[in-house]
Amino acid sequence: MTEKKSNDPMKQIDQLREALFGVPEEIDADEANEILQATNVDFDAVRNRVYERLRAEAQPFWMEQKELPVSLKRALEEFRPETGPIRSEKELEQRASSKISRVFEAAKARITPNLAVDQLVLSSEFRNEKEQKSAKDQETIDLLEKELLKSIEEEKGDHSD
Amino acid sequence: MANSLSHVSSEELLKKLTAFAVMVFGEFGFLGGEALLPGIGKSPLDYAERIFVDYVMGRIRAKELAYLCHAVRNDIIDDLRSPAQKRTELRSNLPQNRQNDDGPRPPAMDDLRASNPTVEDVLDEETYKARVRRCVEDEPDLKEIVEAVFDLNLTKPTDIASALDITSAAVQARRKKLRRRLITSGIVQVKK
Repeated sequence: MTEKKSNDPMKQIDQLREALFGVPEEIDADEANEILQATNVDFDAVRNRVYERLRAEAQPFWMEQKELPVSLKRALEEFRPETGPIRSEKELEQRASSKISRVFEAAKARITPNLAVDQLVLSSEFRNEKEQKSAKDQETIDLLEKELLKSIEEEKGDHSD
Repeated sequence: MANSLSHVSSEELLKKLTAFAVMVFGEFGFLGGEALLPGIGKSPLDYAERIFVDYVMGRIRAKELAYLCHAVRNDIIDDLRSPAQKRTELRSNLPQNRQNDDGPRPPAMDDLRASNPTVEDVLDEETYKARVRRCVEDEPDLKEIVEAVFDLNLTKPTDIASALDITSAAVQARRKKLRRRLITSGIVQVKK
């Protein structure tokens, strides 16, 4: 019934401590929470601090585009604040891509109304100018006008896809 | 009871390691999550964080929580035994200058006694037992557990339960109460 004593004083204390206070596995999640609350530990702050530390540990992997260790990846996902910084190259690409898309969308929204080609009327002032303009100049102007209208039509087609 | 780390989430693991570090600090008389080891300047959170990060990075290979908790405790004890920590306990040998006036003199270093015992004190078996006994003097149910462990050399909950004629669950409940006392009062403040 009695336990065999160890000769190592440290081990003896450990045995006594475990017999009195129990083994670490006896502390369940609820009790761990109680202990942290009773001793004024701000676990959110601990989480954030550890998250930053894990990110620092992950940096070399990201730089070398290596796969993160599974447990590190899991911990980063668990501890990641919702407004947290980018975790990986892949996420960076995704976020960048979506940001660029948003920029394009915004730009398109601003440009598109100005591309109302149907209502476009090119100024005839210069085209109909008779002075200092040869027949060849007129041909060139007509050609350029056609190319410009064609180009605008194509641009309009691209934006409507 | 989840022994395997594979079933414990990262958050739960960090919480448990932090709670355990707080308990170890309590053993040495440093109470509260914000307590710092004199001369070292580390809190329970620092120790829990280090072991947690080392585990996550694969620098510590462990399958059970107990292993990581022991690592936390060993780190704390190593620091308590370090020269940096010991230097903080040295007291000045310089003779004190007595003041001529009768007014109160400011405290000198020699007047400031360490409020916490050395790690050797705590890790001495007899000292440890004496402190724990005093700590539970006013709590009969805890006192019974302590006597069963110290006097009958019982360590397993089933054996303690059998000796005290209570259930194993009751032993676990009393242990939990002891843990609570450990973090709120510590055990080493109790003088020998």
